[in-house]
Amino acid sequence: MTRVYTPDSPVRRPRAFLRTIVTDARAVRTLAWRLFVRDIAAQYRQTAIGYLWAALPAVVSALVWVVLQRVGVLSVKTGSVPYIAYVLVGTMFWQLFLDALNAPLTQLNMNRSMLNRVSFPTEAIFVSGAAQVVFSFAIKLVVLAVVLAASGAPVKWTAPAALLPAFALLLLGTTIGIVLTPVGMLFQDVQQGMNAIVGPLMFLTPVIYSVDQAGVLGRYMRFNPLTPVFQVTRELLFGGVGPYVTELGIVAGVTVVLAFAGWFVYRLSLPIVIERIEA
Amino acid sequence: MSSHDPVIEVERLSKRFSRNLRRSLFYGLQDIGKEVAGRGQYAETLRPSEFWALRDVSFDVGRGETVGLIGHNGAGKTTLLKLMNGLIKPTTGRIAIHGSVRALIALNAGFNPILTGRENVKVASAVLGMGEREIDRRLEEIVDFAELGDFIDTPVRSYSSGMAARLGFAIAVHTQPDILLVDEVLAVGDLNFAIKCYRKINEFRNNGGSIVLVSHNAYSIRSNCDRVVWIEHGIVQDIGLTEDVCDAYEAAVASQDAETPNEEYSDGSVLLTDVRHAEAIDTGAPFAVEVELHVTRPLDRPIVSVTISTVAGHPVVSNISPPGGEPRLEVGRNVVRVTYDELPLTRGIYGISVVVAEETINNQVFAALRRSEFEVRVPRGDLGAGVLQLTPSWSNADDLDRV
Repeated sequence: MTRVYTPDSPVRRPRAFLRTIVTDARAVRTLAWRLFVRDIAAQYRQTAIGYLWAALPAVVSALVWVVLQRVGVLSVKTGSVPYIAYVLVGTMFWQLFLDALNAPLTQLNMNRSMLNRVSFPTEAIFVSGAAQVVFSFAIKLVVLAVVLAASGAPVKWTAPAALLPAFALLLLGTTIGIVLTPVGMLFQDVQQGMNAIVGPLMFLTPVIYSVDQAGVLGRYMRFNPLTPVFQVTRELLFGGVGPYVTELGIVAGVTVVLAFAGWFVYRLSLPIVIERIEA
Repeated sequence: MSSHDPVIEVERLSKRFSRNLRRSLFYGLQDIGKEVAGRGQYAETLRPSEFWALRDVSFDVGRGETVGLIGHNGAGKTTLLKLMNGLIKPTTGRIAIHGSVRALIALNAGFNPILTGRENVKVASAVLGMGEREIDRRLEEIVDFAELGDFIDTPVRSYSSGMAARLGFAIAVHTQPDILLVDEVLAVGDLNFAIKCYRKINEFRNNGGSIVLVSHNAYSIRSNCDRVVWIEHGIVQDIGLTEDVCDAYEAAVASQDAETPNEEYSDGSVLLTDVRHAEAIDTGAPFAVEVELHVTRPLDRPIVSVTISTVAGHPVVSNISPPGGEPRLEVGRNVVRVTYDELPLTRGIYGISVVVAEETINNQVFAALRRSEFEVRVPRGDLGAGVLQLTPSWSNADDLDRV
């Protein structure tokens, strides 16, 4: 096995570039699993209610919207679906997106000290991050199932298929996260900017109300790639939203392409970023 | 044995860095752009605020060979290691690595304090590229090597820094690469553990492994390396056999320290006009120093002290004359002579300091630190550790009993 390091960009030799990517990808599984176990164990060992923290923020924020709905500040019509069920689906899926979006940069920053000391397939960090997001989403799902049952929401038989849009959301969030990492590792503006944008973005996404009821905002919501994901999710769970399947397909397709592009750019950027980060 | 079968080839390697953080970040963006556009990082010029961390460095490492990288802090040694490890990209030149490389660094920096030592070992081993089965197989071996006992199952945050370092090193030393990059980690831990580490490294070398050992300490390089590359300010100063390069390095270290201003204090009653002695002696040879002093007023029971100290400033030989006795100091010109029958010092450059006091050594009227320097030479091939260069005789104690 011979490795050659030169100033040349690997882009010039795409085949060799792809070969190293594939070699590294093979080694990712073991490492990602270890990182996942480490982070999950460390995260919950210092808490009293442990894994419940995965669901609590989404539940609390859903309750806030429910209260606003009750007192009449908000008047979202959800038909036969109780608002608590409707909005909890929204906040939980929204939390899934946020977690997935933040994971790549957060995880890389957590592992800075290893990055500039040891050469290893750093993609494992992303995989482990995504796995943690899935883990915490699974806990949210249990809570969601309980609430759906308790609130008597009319859940359709297609409900389990809502895992598909959930997966699309995970992929989309992770992809955007990875695309932002090279610049985000250099400039903290990226993290700050992300924090600033996600708040308003939630109101352009059918999280707490549907597209039809968003008034003027609804027009802009149609251009939000997150919209079809939320629409399809509620359609599969409760029905009555109408198909956004084509849009979801387009979003998913673009996401996959973007994911690979983001991955390649990340690979190319990593050595340049590493020489600029402190251990 | 080197050039026939090199495992590391470094050719005309250069690397530029920016001193300015903000600029460095913007250059980072620029460089990412170039990389994605396929233009690469090659450059022969510096952008504003940049400097060459390495410039035109070439050398190779043969199979089974141990090569030392020596130089002061900031010389570019760590940058070179990072380049060889593939962590960062060269600006010019090329590195070819034939075989698997592992940097031997204390991994404790990456430990999670909440998790136990055992859990952290599993993660760090995976980071170093061990598979699940290999981790399980080697876990006990690593735990034993680190000598942590029951602590291995307690959270790492309860470890002393020495314990954490031992564990980090134990993991690194148990991976089995073809080439080992060692960055001055061996100073970590207690003596017992340091010796174990050296043994492990020796074992690795005896099995045909190649090592690049980075240090600013000539002693550890002398005792471990076949050849040495000496780097200063990113430029190779010398490459060759350990003895030659280390001699040159140590001479340069000494002359560089000699450039530091020597301090002098005088209340006006004594002035030092000259210090005379041989510039260089062989170890164990006699040595004499003549100190020429100009005294401006009568001194009350004067004392003269002459001290010989190492480049690091540690006194090696220090003597004080009896108050009011020999040598006498009269108003006007005095020449005081100090004679050592033998000076069995280890190799190096030594400084001479002179103090004049009245009645007690604390009541100083004149002091000159490192006013002058001389060199002590030791026959080649001698390691030259320690302070004194003595030649003991060796025998078995029970033979003596029989005499």
